[in-house]
Amino acid sequence: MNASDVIAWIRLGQQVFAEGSKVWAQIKPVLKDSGIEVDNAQLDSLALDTDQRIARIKAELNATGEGP
Amino acid sequence: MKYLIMSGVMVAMASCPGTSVPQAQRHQAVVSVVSAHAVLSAIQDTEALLVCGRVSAPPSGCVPQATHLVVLNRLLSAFEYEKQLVGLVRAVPPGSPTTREIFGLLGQVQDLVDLILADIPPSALKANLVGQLGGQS
Repeated sequence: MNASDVIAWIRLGQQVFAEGSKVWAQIKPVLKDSGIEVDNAQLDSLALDTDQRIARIKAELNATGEGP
Repeated sequence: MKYLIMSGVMVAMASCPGTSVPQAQRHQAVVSVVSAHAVLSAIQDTEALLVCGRVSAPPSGCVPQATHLVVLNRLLSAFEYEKQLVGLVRAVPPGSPTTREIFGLLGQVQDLVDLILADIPPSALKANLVGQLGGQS
């Protein structure tokens, strides 16, 4: 993917996350730029959730003998 | 199908990859990473409901176990890319060159999202998920 791909996405679909959806609800609070400290706190919180999700996937894959 | 992970504001970053990143653009990268996480989380949570044999699975359009394992491996890769993204963006002080690698990783996540959504058979839950993502076919 490169810059032209990104621009093409915007032009093709004007795609946005559906307002009122669960996905939109997660994104909306961070849209406003409240500064680098707030951004970093958001990233740290997100990283914790990501680690938990990765652990769940690995546990399920290991349980089925399909682990990495 | 195309699903938007990167927000439109990333266009500004895309126009000058490899150049310095002021706070506004760093924030846009943060929004994009949060977007990617929200999309992947929604997919993981929904797909888990669709696996054949689970009480939540629909009578038709459930995800066979073999496909589920494929999806899990793709999700694992996507979340690992997302972790790299978080590390990259977290480490970026405003004014540092970064964007090319960030775009590359976001592209990898986007490709995996497209593959996963193609793996999942049509169902009402999938349609709802696609609606949440603002997807179109």
